[in-house]
Amino acid sequence: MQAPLPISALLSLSFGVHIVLVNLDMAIATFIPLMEWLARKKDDDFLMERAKVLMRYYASTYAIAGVFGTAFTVMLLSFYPQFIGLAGHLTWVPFGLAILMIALRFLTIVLYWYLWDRSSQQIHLAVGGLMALSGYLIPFGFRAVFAFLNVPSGLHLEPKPYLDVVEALMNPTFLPLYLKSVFGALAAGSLMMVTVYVIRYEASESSLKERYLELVSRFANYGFASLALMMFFGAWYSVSLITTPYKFYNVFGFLIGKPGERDFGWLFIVKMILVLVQFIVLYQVFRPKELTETQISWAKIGGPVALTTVLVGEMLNMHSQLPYFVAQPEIVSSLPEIFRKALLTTNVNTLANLPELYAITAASLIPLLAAVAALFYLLLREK
Amino acid sequence: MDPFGLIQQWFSGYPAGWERLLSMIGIEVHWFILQYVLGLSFLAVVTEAIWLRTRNDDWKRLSRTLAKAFVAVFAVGAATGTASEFGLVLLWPNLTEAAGRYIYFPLYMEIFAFLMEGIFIYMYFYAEDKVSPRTHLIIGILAFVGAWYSGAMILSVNSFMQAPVNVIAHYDPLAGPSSWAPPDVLLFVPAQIAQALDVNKLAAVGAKVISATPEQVTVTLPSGLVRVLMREAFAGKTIGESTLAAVIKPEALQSLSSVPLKTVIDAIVANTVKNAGIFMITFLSKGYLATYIHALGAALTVSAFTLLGGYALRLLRTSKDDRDRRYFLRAMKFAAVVALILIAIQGTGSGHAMGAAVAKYNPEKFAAMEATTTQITSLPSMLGMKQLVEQFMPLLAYGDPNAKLPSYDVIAAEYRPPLIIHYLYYTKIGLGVLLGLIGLLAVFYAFRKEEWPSWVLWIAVISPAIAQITSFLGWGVREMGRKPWAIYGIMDVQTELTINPPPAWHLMGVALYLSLILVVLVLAVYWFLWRR
Repeated sequence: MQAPLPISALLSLSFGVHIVLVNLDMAIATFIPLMEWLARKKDDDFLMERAKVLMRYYASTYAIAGVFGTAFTVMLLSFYPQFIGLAGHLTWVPFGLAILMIALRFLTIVLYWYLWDRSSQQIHLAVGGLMALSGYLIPFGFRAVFAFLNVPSGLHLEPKPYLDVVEALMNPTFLPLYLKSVFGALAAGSLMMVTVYVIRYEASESSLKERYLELVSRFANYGFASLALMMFFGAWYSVSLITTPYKFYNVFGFLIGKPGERDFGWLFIVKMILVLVQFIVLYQVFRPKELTETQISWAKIGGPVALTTVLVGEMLNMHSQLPYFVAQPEIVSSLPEIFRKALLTTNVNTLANLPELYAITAASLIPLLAAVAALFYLLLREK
Repeated sequence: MDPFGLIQQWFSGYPAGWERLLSMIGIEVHWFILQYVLGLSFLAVVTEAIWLRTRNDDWKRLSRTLAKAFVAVFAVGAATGTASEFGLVLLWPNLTEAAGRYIYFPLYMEIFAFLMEGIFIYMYFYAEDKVSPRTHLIIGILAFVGAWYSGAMILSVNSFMQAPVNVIAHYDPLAGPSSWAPPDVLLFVPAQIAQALDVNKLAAVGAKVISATPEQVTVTLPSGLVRVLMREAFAGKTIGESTLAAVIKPEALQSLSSVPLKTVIDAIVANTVKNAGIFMITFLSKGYLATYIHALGAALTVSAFTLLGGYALRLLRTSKDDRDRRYFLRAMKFAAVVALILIAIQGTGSGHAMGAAVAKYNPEKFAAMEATTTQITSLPSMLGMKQLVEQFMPLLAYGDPNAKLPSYDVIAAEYRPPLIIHYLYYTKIGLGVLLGLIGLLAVFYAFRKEEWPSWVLWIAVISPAIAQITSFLGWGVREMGRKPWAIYGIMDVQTELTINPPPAWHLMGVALYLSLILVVLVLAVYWFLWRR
């Protein structure tokens, strides 16, 4: 049994767009204050201008990422209201933390953007630091919930269902998942910066080429370090998934000749190939004196490949546990019926699983996706 | 009842006082900001359209300032919206689940409205120099339409919670207070379930069969019974453990005893929703249109007074020979005219329609608003206007001079909203009148050739706060007056609450945090708009 395809597709689309953009945003929100700090330290107008331009794009993409996040939540609510209801009863602390950080993040983005050149350097950099920090604390809450969906650590059913937060944070899959996500985001963001600055390098006049090359090299360094750490924590996360055999075998079963019920080994292989491509890109642009056509070509695909890796990784993590919201069939089947039904993705809201709704969705979404494309086109277009 | 007693009645007289307080703060913070997204976006487009016609650069400057302001508040509004959304999920999961299951459609459509709003607001702000002026204006129109569309969706859900299409309030204004009875809920029971029910026992608990077809039986159930069944269903009781068991035929009860009550209730409610129209049910809520127009009007009014106050402050801080003065005065004149028109419409048009809708569809709330009780001294009594109000209010509310107001004291205790809403309501009315007078004063000085006296400017400066408080009180009356219900006639506060309520210090901490964010935001917008 599987969830209806349109529902799966809509949830994957909204979550996919959201997660790719928030990964990018998390990295960029770290890079901008860092670039500002470096620019002030070195009195470097070029770097300062790059930080400002980056902030301009960041401020616009962040809200779009948020909109898709909300879209994902509301779609989950519409198609799986019982699951959302159950989650609401249990997740006050992790979701609550994420909420507080989301509010802080939006505020710091507004403050950082509008206080630029209107406040002291120290205050502005402090706001930037807070903006970056809030970006790391939002997934802290969300990843705790994702880890709970791997292994429901801290869940107690008596005398009533509740979550022991300390036990939940001791979940064996939480820390590696969180750290993998953080470094994965930094790696993807760094590679995207490499791509952007290589394009600028190519288009700029010779006097600026050297400056763009510096940036390419700097972000290649960040990318390399982050990707290496992401691989380490990714491996740790993979090992930790042994605690959730259903998911583990769905992802890695093919390696030991025991593929799971829903074999996603092929997607894991795709992800590894994409990671390999990222390493090749970084190798190509690692401390270059100048860039050859081949290097430029590799660098141009670095960002898109890195973001695709994030997308593939998230889809792998999400789909490999279906049709269970909590990837432990034995635990799910032992729960009272009311909870059991809430934790199955096949238990779709019958009032929402309608062809008319899918038609309305398509009619609403397609023009808006075109408008998103137009927005990015206008943002990137020269005057 | 003294003021403390009034607060206590609201806070402790119903379940989940702290949770309600946090929700109130969270949603009010969101609404505080949202009004500017709804209002400033529209005013920015209007001023840009005027610029396109006149080519007077003051209008362009005003339009840009408004656009800057609403982009700033949109970003934070998106954050507070997300926070409110998660807040609802975490504090009121059963209500959220019910909304997701039965009235998801407007929430679902709000995704697209939100997306539309976000995309075009950013496009309006960032792409101004990359498109033609006319295209820019069209983008602006799409931006505010997105915001208004979003409001239309969310307010339909709120309207459903206030007066669902299938809930029948019982009050006959011509018959008077004794005609009040608890509301009934119209339900379409699938035949399979109806067959298991004992009709005589059902009639004994106040149920009435309206019609029957081979597919379903249409009945009305007393809201008191529906409230209990909803509570038991969400508490995970089986049919055998529930109140429903008392009205099930003995031969059917044996096989149904271990079935979760929620399964049966869900089948009945889902069938009722299908009958009302899955995509239309919230839009058919009684009083929806009045709600939408009144809320939108409030947002525009608050935005107009904020514009007036902001430029009045600028004028007070500007030297007399400043060349910007002409621009400030033009902006104030525009704001004053818009504010006066809007407050007049709010008071006499949409506000009246809202009041009439409450009187008709929420008589218990109306009784509390009018304080038709011996428990408190009403504000009109204190002001010596009791007779006047008693004479005119029935005519205003019901359009009939012979009509009578419902009596709060006649209403059964478990259906009474908190009496504090009477004072909030009349304070709101008073502040609304005050805003009208400020609007008149501002228009008077805007069209005179003389300088604005500084005392008038200072009154204009505080007018945004008065407008915000008025709007806040309006929502306060609406939402606090919804008690004891979460969804009128169907689900009460106890049922919607999480089974794991957070400790009070968590809730207070979050409330303080959200309030602090609001304060910092106001300061940030002020710096951004006025400091160079």
